[in-house]
Amino acid sequence: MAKFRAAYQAEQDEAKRNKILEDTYPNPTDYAPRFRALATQFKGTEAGAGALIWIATSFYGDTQEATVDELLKDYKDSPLLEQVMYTLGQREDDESRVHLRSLLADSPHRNVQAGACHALALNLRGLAANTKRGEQKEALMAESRALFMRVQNDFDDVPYRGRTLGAVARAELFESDRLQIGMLAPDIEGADLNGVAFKLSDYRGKVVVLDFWGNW
Amino acid sequence: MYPHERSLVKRLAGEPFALIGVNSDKDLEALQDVLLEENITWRSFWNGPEGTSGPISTQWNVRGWPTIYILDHEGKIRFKGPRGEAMDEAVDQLLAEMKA
Repeated sequence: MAKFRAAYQAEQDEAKRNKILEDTYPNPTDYAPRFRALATQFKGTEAGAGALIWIATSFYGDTQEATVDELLKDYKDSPLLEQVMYTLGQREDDESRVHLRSLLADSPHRNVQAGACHALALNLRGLAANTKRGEQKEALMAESRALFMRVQNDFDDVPYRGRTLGAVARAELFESDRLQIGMLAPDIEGADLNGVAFKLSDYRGKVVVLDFWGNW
Repeated sequence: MYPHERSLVKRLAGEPFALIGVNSDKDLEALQDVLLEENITWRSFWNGPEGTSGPISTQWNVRGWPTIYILDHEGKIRFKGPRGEAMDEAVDQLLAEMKA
Protein backbone atom coordinates (compact mmCIF):
# COMPACT_ATOMS: atom_id res chain seq x y z
CA MET A 1 0.00 0.00 0.00
CA ALA A 2 2.74 2.47 1.00
CA LYS A 3 4.79 1.42 -2.02
CA PHE A 4 1.77 1.89 -4.28
CA ARG A 5 1.10 5.36 -2.88
CA ALA A 6 4.69 6.46 -3.34
CA ALA A 7 4.75 5.29 -6.95
CA TYR A 8 1.31 6.74 -7.64
CA GLN A 9 2.15 10.13 -6.21
CA ALA A 10 5.51 10.32 -7.95
CA GLU A 11 3.86 9.85 -11.35
CA GLN A 12 2.35 13.04 -12.76
CA ASP A 13 0.96 11.63 -15.99
CA GLU A 14 -2.72 10.66 -15.63
CA ALA A 15 -2.57 7.66 -17.97
CA LYS A 16 0.54 6.24 -16.32
CA ARG A 17 -1.05 6.82 -12.91
CA ASN A 18 -4.10 4.82 -13.94
CA LYS A 19 -1.85 2.02 -15.19
CA ILE A 20 -0.16 1.81 -11.77
CA LEU A 21 -3.57 1.78 -10.14
CA GLU A 22 -4.88 -1.02 -12.39
CA ASP A 23 -1.75 -3.15 -11.99
CA THR A 24 -1.88 -2.86 -8.21
CA TYR A 25 -5.61 -3.26 -7.75
CA PRO A 26 -7.09 -5.43 -10.52
CA ASN A 27 -10.54 -4.47 -11.68
CA PRO A 28 -13.06 -6.66 -9.80
CA THR A 29 -15.24 -6.81 -12.93
CA ASP A 30 -12.61 -9.09 -14.53
CA TYR A 31 -12.92 -11.60 -11.69
CA ALA A 32 -16.63 -11.43 -10.93
CA PRO A 33 -17.66 -14.14 -13.45
CA ARG A 34 -15.22 -16.61 -11.89
CA PHE A 35 -16.52 -15.94 -8.37
CA ARG A 36 -20.06 -16.21 -9.71
CA ALA A 37 -19.20 -19.64 -11.17
CA LEU A 38 -17.70 -20.71 -7.83
CA ALA A 39 -20.84 -19.54 -6.03
CA THR A 40 -22.96 -21.72 -8.31
CA GLN A 41 -20.65 -24.74 -8.18
CA PHE A 42 -20.38 -24.70 -4.39
CA LYS A 43 -23.85 -23.47 -3.56
CA GLY A 44 -24.86 -24.27 0.01
CA THR A 45 -21.27 -24.59 1.29
CA GLU A 46 -18.95 -22.12 3.00
CA ALA A 47 -17.00 -21.83 -0.27
CA GLY A 48 -20.19 -20.77 -2.04
CA ALA A 49 -20.89 -18.21 0.68
CA GLY A 50 -17.28 -17.00 0.45
CA ALA A 51 -17.56 -16.42 -3.30
CA LEU A 52 -20.68 -14.31 -2.82
CA ILE A 53 -19.01 -12.40 0.01
CA TRP A 54 -16.17 -11.54 -2.38
CA ILE A 55 -18.62 -10.14 -4.92
CA ALA A 56 -20.63 -8.28 -2.27
CA THR A 57 -17.55 -6.61 -0.83
CA SER A 58 -15.90 -5.79 -4.18
CA PHE A 59 -18.81 -3.88 -5.72
CA TYR A 60 -21.20 -1.11 -4.86
CA GLY A 61 -24.71 -0.38 -6.03
CA ASP A 62 -27.09 -2.92 -7.57
CA THR A 63 -24.56 -5.78 -7.79
CA GLN A 64 -23.71 -5.43 -4.14
CA GLU A 65 -27.33 -5.16 -3.08
CA ALA A 66 -28.45 -8.20 -5.09
CA THR A 67 -25.54 -10.29 -3.77
CA VAL A 68 -26.24 -9.34 -0.16
CA ASP A 69 -29.88 -10.33 -0.71
CA GLU A 70 -28.73 -13.67 -2.07
CA LEU A 71 -26.50 -14.24 0.97
CA LEU A 72 -29.37 -13.41 3.34
CA LYS A 73 -31.64 -15.84 1.53
CA ASP A 74 -29.26 -18.79 1.12
CA TYR A 75 -26.72 -18.39 3.91
CA LYS A 76 -28.50 -16.84 6.88
CA ASP A 77 -26.58 -19.10 9.30
CA SER A 78 -23.10 -18.40 7.87
CA PRO A 79 -20.50 -16.68 10.06
CA LEU A 80 -19.28 -14.85 6.92
CA LEU A 81 -22.38 -12.63 6.98
CA GLU A 82 -20.49 -10.47 9.47
CA GLN A 83 -18.68 -8.94 6.49
CA VAL A 84 -21.84 -7.49 4.95
CA MET A 85 -23.54 -6.23 8.11
CA TYR A 86 -22.23 -2.69 7.71
CA THR A 87 -23.41 -2.57 4.08
CA LEU A 88 -26.82 -3.88 5.08
CA GLY A 89 -27.03 -1.27 7.83
CA GLN A 90 -26.48 1.52 5.34
CA ARG A 91 -29.66 0.71 3.46
CA GLU A 92 -32.73 2.77 4.18
CA ASP A 93 -35.56 0.31 3.56
CA ASP A 94 -37.57 -1.33 6.36
CA GLU A 95 -36.74 -4.80 5.09
CA SER A 96 -33.04 -4.34 5.86
CA ARG A 97 -33.90 -3.54 9.44
CA VAL A 98 -36.04 -6.70 9.62
CA HIS A 99 -33.02 -8.71 8.42
CA LEU A 100 -30.70 -7.07 10.96
CA ARG A 101 -33.14 -7.72 13.79
CA SER A 102 -33.52 -11.36 12.86
CA LEU A 103 -29.74 -11.89 12.53
CA LEU A 104 -29.19 -10.25 15.91
CA ALA A 105 -31.75 -12.59 17.46
CA ASP A 106 -31.19 -15.79 15.52
CA SER A 107 -27.72 -16.04 13.97
CA PRO A 108 -25.82 -18.94 15.53
CA HIS A 109 -22.64 -16.84 15.37
CA ARG A 110 -21.75 -14.23 17.93
CA ASN A 111 -19.72 -12.17 15.42
CA VAL A 112 -22.76 -11.88 13.13
CA GLN A 113 -25.03 -10.96 16.05
CA ALA A 114 -22.48 -8.32 17.04
CA GLY A 115 -22.21 -6.86 13.54
CA ALA A 116 -25.99 -6.82 13.18
CA CYS A 117 -26.42 -5.09 16.53
CA HIS A 118 -23.93 -2.36 15.62
CA ALA A 119 -25.24 -1.93 12.08
CA LEU A 120 -28.82 -1.65 13.33
CA ALA A 121 -27.79 0.99 15.88
CA LEU A 122 -26.16 3.04 13.09
CA ASN A 123 -29.13 2.52 10.81
CA LEU A 124 -31.68 3.70 13.40
CA ARG A 125 -29.60 6.79 14.17
CA GLY A 126 -29.59 7.61 10.46
CA LEU A 127 -33.33 7.12 10.36
CA ALA A 128 -33.72 9.42 13.37
CA ALA A 129 -31.73 12.12 11.58
CA ASN A 130 -34.21 11.98 8.70
CA THR A 131 -37.27 11.97 10.97
CA LYS A 132 -38.92 15.33 11.65
CA ARG A 133 -41.43 14.42 14.34
CA GLY A 134 -39.96 14.88 17.80
CA GLU A 135 -41.48 11.90 19.57
CA GLN A 136 -40.67 9.39 16.85
CA LYS A 137 -37.16 10.82 16.47
CA GLU A 138 -36.56 10.47 20.21
CA ALA A 139 -37.75 6.87 20.20
CA LEU A 140 -35.39 5.97 17.34
CA MET A 141 -32.44 7.65 19.06
CA ALA A 142 -33.27 5.80 22.29
CA GLU A 143 -33.38 2.44 20.54
CA SER A 144 -30.14 3.20 18.68
CA ARG A 145 -28.53 4.15 21.97
CA ALA A 146 -29.70 0.95 23.65
CA LEU A 147 -28.20 -1.10 20.82
CA PHE A 148 -24.82 0.67 21.09
CA MET A 149 -24.95 -0.08 24.84
CA ARG A 150 -25.70 -3.69 24.04
CA VAL A 151 -22.65 -3.83 21.75
CA GLN A 152 -20.52 -2.65 24.68
CA ASN A 153 -22.11 -5.06 27.14
CA ASP A 154 -22.38 -8.19 25.02
CA PHE A 155 -19.88 -7.81 22.16
CA ASP A 156 -17.15 -5.56 23.59
CA ASP A 157 -14.21 -7.73 22.46
CA VAL A 158 -15.36 -8.56 18.91
CA PRO A 159 -12.67 -7.38 16.44
CA TYR A 160 -13.78 -4.67 14.02
CA ARG A 161 -11.59 -2.96 11.41
CA GLY A 162 -8.43 -3.08 13.50
CA ARG A 163 -10.23 -2.05 16.70
CA THR A 164 -12.84 -3.72 18.87
CA LEU A 165 -16.55 -3.28 18.36
CA GLY A 166 -16.86 -2.07 21.96
CA ALA A 167 -14.43 0.80 21.32
CA VAL A 168 -16.24 1.72 18.12
CA ALA A 169 -19.62 1.65 19.88
CA ARG A 170 -18.30 3.94 22.62
CA ALA A 171 -17.21 6.45 19.97
CA GLU A 172 -20.59 6.17 18.27
CA LEU A 173 -22.36 6.80 21.56
CA PHE A 174 -20.28 9.95 22.04
CA GLU A 175 -21.46 11.03 18.60
CA SER A 176 -25.08 10.25 19.51
CA ASP A 177 -24.90 12.12 22.80
CA ARG A 178 -22.63 15.05 22.01
CA LEU A 179 -22.31 15.58 18.26
CA GLN A 180 -25.87 15.87 17.00
CA ILE A 181 -27.28 18.93 15.30
CA GLY A 182 -28.49 21.45 17.89
CA MET A 183 -26.01 20.32 20.56
CA LEU A 184 -23.27 22.54 21.99
CA ALA A 185 -20.06 21.38 20.32
CA PRO A 186 -17.56 19.68 22.66
CA ASP A 187 -14.57 21.94 23.20
CA ILE A 188 -11.28 21.11 21.54
CA GLU A 189 -8.05 22.01 23.31
CA GLY A 190 -4.86 21.58 21.38
CA ALA A 191 -2.02 23.28 19.57
CA ASP A 192 -2.01 24.84 16.11
CA LEU A 193 0.47 23.95 13.38
CA ASN A 194 3.00 26.36 14.90
CA GLY A 195 2.67 24.73 18.30
CA VAL A 196 0.59 27.55 19.82
CA ALA A 197 -2.10 26.33 22.23
CA PHE A 198 -5.71 27.34 21.58
CA LYS A 199 -9.28 26.17 22.08
CA LEU A 200 -12.26 25.83 19.81
CA SER A 201 -14.27 27.84 22.36
CA ASP A 202 -11.91 30.80 21.79
CA TYR A 203 -14.02 31.35 18.67
CA ARG A 204 -17.37 31.57 20.48
CA GLY A 205 -19.19 34.60 19.07
CA LYS A 206 -18.22 33.68 15.53
CA VAL A 207 -19.72 31.31 13.03
CA VAL A 208 -17.21 28.47 12.72
CA VAL A 209 -16.58 25.96 9.96
CA LEU A 210 -14.70 23.08 11.59
CA ASP A 211 -12.88 21.20 8.88
CA PHE A 212 -11.16 17.86 9.55
CA TRP A 213 -8.60 17.80 6.76
CA GLY A 214 -5.28 16.41 5.63
CA ASN A 215 -2.99 16.94 2.69
CA TRP A 216 -3.16 13.57 0.95
CA MET B 1 -10.88 21.79 -1.80
CA TYR B 2 -8.30 24.41 -0.91
CA PRO B 3 -9.42 26.94 -3.56
CA HIS B 4 -12.97 26.83 -2.26
CA GLU B 5 -11.89 27.32 1.32
CA ARG B 6 -9.54 30.13 0.32
CA SER B 7 -12.35 31.97 -1.43
CA LEU B 8 -14.71 31.50 1.53
CA VAL B 9 -12.13 32.89 3.95
CA LYS B 10 -11.41 35.78 1.61
CA ARG B 11 -15.05 36.63 1.01
CA LEU B 12 -15.84 36.67 4.73
CA ALA B 13 -12.77 38.59 5.88
CA GLY B 14 -13.94 41.07 8.51
CA GLU B 15 -17.11 39.08 9.26
CA PRO B 16 -17.61 37.21 12.55
CA PHE B 17 -16.50 34.00 10.92
CA ALA B 18 -13.62 31.55 11.31
CA LEU B 19 -12.52 28.49 9.41
CA ILE B 20 -10.79 26.18 11.88
CA GLY B 21 -9.08 23.03 10.68
CA VAL B 22 -8.15 19.83 12.41
CA ASN B 23 -5.15 18.71 10.41
CA SER B 24 -4.30 15.02 10.34
CA ASP B 25 -0.99 14.94 8.53
CA LYS B 26 1.60 12.97 10.44
CA ASP B 27 4.54 15.04 9.27
CA LEU B 28 4.28 18.65 10.42
CA GLU B 29 7.56 19.69 8.75
CA ALA B 30 6.46 18.55 5.31
CA LEU B 31 3.13 20.28 5.82
CA GLN B 32 4.78 23.70 6.22
CA ASP B 33 5.60 23.74 2.48
CA VAL B 34 2.02 22.86 1.61
CA LEU B 35 0.71 25.70 3.78
CA LEU B 36 2.89 28.14 1.85
CA GLU B 37 2.25 26.71 -1.60
CA GLU B 38 -1.50 26.49 -1.14
CA ASN B 39 -1.72 29.75 0.79
CA ILE B 40 -3.50 28.09 3.70
CA THR B 41 -3.85 30.96 6.14
CA TRP B 42 -6.54 29.59 8.42
CA ARG B 43 -5.72 28.08 11.77
CA SER B 44 -5.71 24.34 12.39
CA PHE B 45 -5.35 22.12 15.39
CA TRP B 46 -2.83 19.39 14.82
CA ASN B 47 -4.27 15.90 15.32
CA GLY B 48 -0.86 14.58 16.40
CA PRO B 49 1.72 12.09 15.11
CA GLU B 50 -0.86 9.31 14.75
CA GLY B 51 -2.45 11.12 11.82
CA THR B 52 -6.03 10.12 11.17
CA SER B 53 -5.99 8.01 14.35
CA GLY B 54 -5.14 11.07 16.44
CA PRO B 55 -7.04 12.10 19.58
CA ILE B 56 -9.24 14.89 18.20
CA SER B 57 -10.63 13.00 15.21
CA THR B 58 -11.03 9.89 17.36
CA GLN B 59 -13.09 11.77 19.94
CA TRP B 60 -15.19 13.35 17.20
CA ASN B 61 -15.66 9.90 15.65
CA VAL B 62 -14.46 11.09 12.24
CA ARG B 63 -14.63 8.28 9.67
CA GLY B 64 -14.24 10.19 6.43
CA TRP B 65 -11.94 12.98 5.30
CA PRO B 66 -12.71 15.77 4.99
CA THR B 67 -15.49 15.96 7.57
CA ILE B 68 -17.21 19.31 8.08
CA TYR B 69 -19.14 20.65 11.06
CA ILE B 70 -20.61 24.15 11.05
CA LEU B 71 -21.20 25.85 14.40
CA ASP B 72 -23.25 28.97 15.08
CA HIS B 73 -21.94 31.90 17.09
CA GLU B 74 -23.13 30.24 20.31
CA GLY B 75 -21.01 27.18 19.60
CA LYS B 76 -23.93 24.93 18.71
CA ILE B 77 -23.57 22.32 15.96
CA ARG B 78 -25.95 23.43 13.20
CA PHE B 79 -24.78 21.55 10.11
CA LYS B 80 -22.80 18.40 9.42
CA GLY B 81 -21.15 17.71 6.13
CA PRO B 82 -21.98 20.52 3.70
CA ARG B 83 -19.32 21.14 1.07
CA GLY B 84 -18.97 23.61 -1.76
CA GLU B 85 -21.93 25.88 -2.33
CA ALA B 86 -23.95 24.23 0.43
CA MET B 87 -21.19 25.17 2.87
CA ASP B 88 -21.32 28.80 1.77
CA GLU B 89 -25.10 28.91 2.07
CA ALA B 90 -25.03 27.39 5.55
CA VAL B 91 -22.45 29.93 6.74
CA ASP B 92 -24.37 32.83 5.20
CA GLN B 93 -27.56 31.65 6.89
CA LEU B 94 -25.88 31.52 10.31
CA LEU B 95 -24.28 34.94 9.83
CA ALA B 96 -27.68 36.39 8.85
CA GLU B 97 -29.30 34.77 11.91
CA MET B 98 -26.65 36.24 14.14
CA LYS B 99 -27.25 39.75 12.84
CA ALA B 100 -31.05 39.50 12.92
